[in-house]
Amino acid sequence: MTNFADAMHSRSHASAFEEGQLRVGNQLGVDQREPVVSCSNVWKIFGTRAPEAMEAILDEGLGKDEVLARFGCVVAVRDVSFSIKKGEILAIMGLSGSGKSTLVRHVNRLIEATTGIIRLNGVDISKVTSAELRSIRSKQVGMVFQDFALLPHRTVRDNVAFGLELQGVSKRQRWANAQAAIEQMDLKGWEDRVPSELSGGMRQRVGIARALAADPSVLLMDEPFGALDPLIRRDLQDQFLALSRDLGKTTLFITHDLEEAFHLGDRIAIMKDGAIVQLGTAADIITSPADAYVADFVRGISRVPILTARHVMTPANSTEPPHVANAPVATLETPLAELIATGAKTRSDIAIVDQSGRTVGMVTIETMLSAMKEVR
Amino acid sequence: MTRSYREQDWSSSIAEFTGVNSSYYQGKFADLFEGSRARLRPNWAAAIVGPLWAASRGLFGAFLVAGLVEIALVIGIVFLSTGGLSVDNMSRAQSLEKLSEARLTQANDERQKGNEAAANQMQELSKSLAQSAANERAVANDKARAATMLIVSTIAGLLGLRAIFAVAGDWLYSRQYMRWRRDRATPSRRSYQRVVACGLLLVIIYVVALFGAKVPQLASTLAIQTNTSELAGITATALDRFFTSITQSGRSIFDAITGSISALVASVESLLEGLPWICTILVVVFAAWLLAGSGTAAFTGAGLVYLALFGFWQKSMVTIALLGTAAVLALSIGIPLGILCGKSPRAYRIFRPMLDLMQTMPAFIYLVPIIAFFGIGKTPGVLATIIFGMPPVARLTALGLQQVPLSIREAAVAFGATPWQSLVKVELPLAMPSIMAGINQTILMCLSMVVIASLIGAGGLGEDVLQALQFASVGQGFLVGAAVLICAIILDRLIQGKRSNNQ
Ligand SMILES: Nc1ncnc2c1ncn2[C@@H]1O[C@H](COP(=O)(O)OP(=O)(O)OP(=O)(O)O)[C@@H](O)[C@H]1O
Ligand SMILES: [Mg+2]
Repeated sequence: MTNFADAMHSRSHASAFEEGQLRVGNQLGVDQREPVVSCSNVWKIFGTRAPEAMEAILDEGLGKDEVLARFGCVVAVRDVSFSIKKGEILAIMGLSGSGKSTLVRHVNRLIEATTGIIRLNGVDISKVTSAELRSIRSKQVGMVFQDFALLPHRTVRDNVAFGLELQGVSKRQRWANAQAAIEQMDLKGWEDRVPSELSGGMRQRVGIARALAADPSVLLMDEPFGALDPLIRRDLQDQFLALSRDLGKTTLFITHDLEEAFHLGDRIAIMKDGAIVQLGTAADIITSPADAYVADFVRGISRVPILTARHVMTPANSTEPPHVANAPVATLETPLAELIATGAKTRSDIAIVDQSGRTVGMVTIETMLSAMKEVR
Repeated sequence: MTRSYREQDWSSSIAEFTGVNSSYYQGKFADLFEGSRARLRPNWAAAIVGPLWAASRGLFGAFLVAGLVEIALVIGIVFLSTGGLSVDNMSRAQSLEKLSEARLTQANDERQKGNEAAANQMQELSKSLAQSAANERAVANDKARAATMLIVSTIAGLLGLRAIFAVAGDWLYSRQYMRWRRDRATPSRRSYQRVVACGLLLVIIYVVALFGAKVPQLASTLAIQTNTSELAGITATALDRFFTSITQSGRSIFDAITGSISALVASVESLLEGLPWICTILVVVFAAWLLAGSGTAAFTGAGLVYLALFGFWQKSMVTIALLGTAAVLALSIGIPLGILCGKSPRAYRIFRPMLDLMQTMPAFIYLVPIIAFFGIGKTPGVLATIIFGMPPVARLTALGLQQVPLSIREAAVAFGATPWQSLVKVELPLAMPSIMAGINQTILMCLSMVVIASLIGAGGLGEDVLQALQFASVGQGFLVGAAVLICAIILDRLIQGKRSNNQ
């Protein structure tokens, strides 16, 4: 058992350089891409005495409660830095009040940071004029809200075309764009209805279509599926995932739901009291939680859909080649579920090979079983 | 969980709030918050000094209510124990006895004169008077006995009140503590200044009330004695002079306002009156059908024919012209004002008292300053109507804007709306139901004021109402009343219809 844990540990170090890589698809050239969104050392303190509180925090290292008691200020975002590459989905996860919504609203400057720099497509958004800011908001960022925030007096079409209308796009053009977004979200035939005639799931599809209509490069989604029932939620998750892969939208996706975060997020940021306590892929988080808080979070989550051969295999010792001659073969990226299926069928160990076909490790029935077991 | 109210942070904050006797309140508040049975244990200080305890702890509401009730009870006891209930019957009995004696002496006189018949009559009278006196005495005795019972129950009430204080006092105090946690300006700690001030207040009220009840003469000497009519006369003259000077210095402005409004009214009026009544009816009925359906159209037609047949047509048109002008002006001032108030909390704080004042003041009182500046006639009538009718639409517009969900406003900004776009494309449409309700109310309030404005010579249906009132002609009054009612219902229906069509 100790051996296994050690092996896990060294493996997660070995793959640490791949943090930020996409889990699926186009993995080549990932590292060359410029970040679309980046935050560095962002703080947000609510309250009239925010500057004073900021000073005190930097000087004396006060905690959230002390700041509230001394200055009556709420520390909502605490020294957050991250960057997201094009096409990546960053899931932001955390308990209520951990500052997720506040953090995300910094990206289109609905909320101004107390200190720190936020860049969107390379532009420091605290430096832009208000006209430029409006143009950024309408053209580069689409936003989806938990309670949909649709305009009840407008039809689906006019709701979807809302952002374009604000930009002054001609009616013909904006209706054409809106139609495309509506069809993308499977809402064809509902264009002339008003939101009150739609079900919750459909309303949120309108919300997503509205965010997509202006073809923004970044999507901000604040618990978009939080108000929906589990079946519809699953549906929308898959629909959204396919769509975002197709369109390559960079997404910040807030959720309360760890399954959802693991399902959708290429990486997951776990927030607590305004700070990001861990940022990494689902496998990183599940195999090596940063602290007890994160470990508590991931306890009870099913590991099978998340782990791959890379995470569970025992690395082959180069001096001692694998002894099984005609063992079944799998790649580093083969999901654990598939390994289990193969193992169950052949009842033998599985050899793991890299791209050049060299055997780099072994997966035995025992390693698979212990990998499925949760870490306590 | 339950122990948490006894822990350090709560205890020290309770101690900071209560000051003296903090350990008692720390335990008591914890009992209250935990709902333990011990929460019903009485607070003896509160029981013994009652309202003054409340005052010392800054529970001014409880102090005032309990203090006044206790004074009333005490005065009641004083009144009852000095025979207050039976005093009337007693004095009546005494005077009856005197009368009876007088009659008896008269009877004896007559008998000595040998006038037997008259003597007997007198004697009968005296006897029956004596009988009534005895009855009165009996009633007085009954009342005196009842008074004793009442005194006992009043004292019981007083004690009951104190008992309530003893049990509920700490509960009230704990609520005050929760308020204080939110807002440190809430009175806290124990203070003798408060006791002295509040005690003084009670004593003054007690003395004045007691003498008012017991000794009418004293009460009237205590009352302020001034020659009110003289004072009012002086002030009125001063105000007259003040208004005259303002009117003179602002003559050109007032003239401009008067001129433009009267021109406006005149043109609307000539339009409405110039049109043959059949045409007007057809147009209005068609509009009613369009806006509110066939039922309303039928009612409108019938109502308008009534106006025409009973000879109210011309006056109705004058009323409608006045109303139309006033309502349009009221709306075009009120809606922007409402938008301003809805968008800016500071503006709302400034204007709300004014709107309150405009709405709560009795309608007649507007007329006075308006006459001072604008004289009598149609223009002042329209102005008074504007002032009276504007508040509802301003208020409901502001309310409607304030009720737009925050997330929808946020969505507008997130999609790049300018403040103006957000207002026009999002907030106003969402506030529309509320604004329409405001428009409806404003128009109906304008109608009622236009009728009243006939007092200052605005003309219209109000004139007939006034006449009916002056000559107490019920039949005529009834007919005019119906005419006004018809106008009101038609307007209301037309506007309502538009609202329900929109949705
Ligand atoms: N406008 C504001 N003024 C003051 N404090 C605020 C404001 N907005 C948020 N906060 C505080 O900031 C903290 C973070 O709030 P935030 O809404 O970002 O949490 P969240 O993680 O989105 O929670 P939830 O999952 O419930 O939406 C909270 O403590 C909240 O009270
Ligand atoms: Mg939130």
